[in-house]
Amino acid sequence: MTEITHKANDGFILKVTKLLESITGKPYRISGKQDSKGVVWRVYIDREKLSLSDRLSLNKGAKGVEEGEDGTIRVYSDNLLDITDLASDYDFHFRDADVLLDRKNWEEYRREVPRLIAELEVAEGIANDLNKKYDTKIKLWSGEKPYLETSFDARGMNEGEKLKEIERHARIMLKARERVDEWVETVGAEMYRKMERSRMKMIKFRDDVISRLQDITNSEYGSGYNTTLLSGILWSVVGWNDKKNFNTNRGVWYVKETKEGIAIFSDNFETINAQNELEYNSIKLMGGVTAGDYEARIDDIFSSYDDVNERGWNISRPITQEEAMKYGRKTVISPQILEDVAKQISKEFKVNIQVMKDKPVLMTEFQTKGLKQQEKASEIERRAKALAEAWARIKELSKGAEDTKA
Amino acid sequence: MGEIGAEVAAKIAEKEYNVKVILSGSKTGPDSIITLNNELAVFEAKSSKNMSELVRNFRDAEKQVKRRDKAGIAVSVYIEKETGFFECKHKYVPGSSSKVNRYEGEEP
Repeated sequence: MTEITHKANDGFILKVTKLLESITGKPYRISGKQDSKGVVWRVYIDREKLSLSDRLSLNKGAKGVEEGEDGTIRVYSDNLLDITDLASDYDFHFRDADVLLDRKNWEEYRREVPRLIAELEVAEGIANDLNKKYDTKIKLWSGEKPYLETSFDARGMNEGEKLKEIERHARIMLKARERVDEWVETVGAEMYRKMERSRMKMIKFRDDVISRLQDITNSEYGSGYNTTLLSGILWSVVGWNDKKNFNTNRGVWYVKETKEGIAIFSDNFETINAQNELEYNSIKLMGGVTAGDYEARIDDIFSSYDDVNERGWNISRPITQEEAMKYGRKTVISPQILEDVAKQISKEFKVNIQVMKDKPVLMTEFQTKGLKQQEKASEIERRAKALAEAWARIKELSKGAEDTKA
Repeated sequence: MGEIGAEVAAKIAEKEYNVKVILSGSKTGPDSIITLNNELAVFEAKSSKNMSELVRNFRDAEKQVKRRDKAGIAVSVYIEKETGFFECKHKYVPGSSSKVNRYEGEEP
């Protein structure tokens, strides 16, 4: 690894390394060039030299120290968390992973991700508390992977003064992190346990739904999540393509429960004859839209397909424009056929299957007021069977009906 | 992600892609910077306690790699704390790709 050419003297950086090692009892390393844009030098904890148990029990308050080109020396902690991970515990997905950088947004997201907002507030509170006590400038960076950072103006300081200030700030940062960790292990853990308890019933039910759907369609399903505030969705399940057996029944592709009821959607019938992920995603790239499709809400997810390369690696291969044109052949299903099959199936299965207004997608919904979970699951199963049968019939009718213009 | 999950994910990447995963020294950015095919790449990992979240997290990890505008490895692990049983998904995500415009669907 190429080391950076330090404007500061190498002896001084080594002294910083030794100082941090003496404070924390852990090894530090000097940053490589590629890792140090905008900084004169950086020293950070060397996890490679730590045993697994040391890594897990590490106080991460002083992960690194760096000097900026403006003469500011910063001491920063390791990331407190990854907001996408914590949000995932609540089935929520941040479209903008840095949205919490603006404190004004915290209140809006509290209802969706209470434990995450609580931890950010605690970290900021601890920072403010220590700032008052020690006259420091600890700040919380609350973007995708939040961390604490303190800094001081080192211009005009000699090496001894700089080292003294680094030591003072590093020790305070260790205190800060210790207090955040203490909260995480006590109050935070209790919040998590409560959340887990309240979610357990839903997770069990969702798993039951997934298992029933798999039995009906042979497709694979996973949990979905909310991407908008106050969406009202209590839980959702989305289909995903199993690479080994792509040609499964996708009559049921998205299920969601709200306070009012449960809605079940099929996949887009334009994809009904796709033989593999390349064809399937190419159809999506060429404009095929799936109702309520979780994937469609994830940027770029259709711009590649899974493959294995010459080294045997699982690889996400980008789909070129040419490939999208070549493989993105939609199956054109006449709206009349969809309507007819929906009517037929509705009659046979005694459910109301509808064609969505603007998409070649079938859906059915029912109200859940007064229903017990077992009753809801049975109703989902009954309707899923109807949608799966509709998929099978339309598949039979659609053979050879590919869009030659695509 | 949970630290145990991160360690497991790192081991998986090291074994499957012959890389050394070391924590990045930076404050922001990927979980780790790695050297892959003699080039700098990123490592993003997710772990979950529910099997049904494995795929969703895998997509998140892939998305995080793509957001870095660099090649990288995305790993998602499901770990059963009580038994130590784990399931994982991983893939190599190449760097910048040619992007094709597409119409984005709406929630019904």
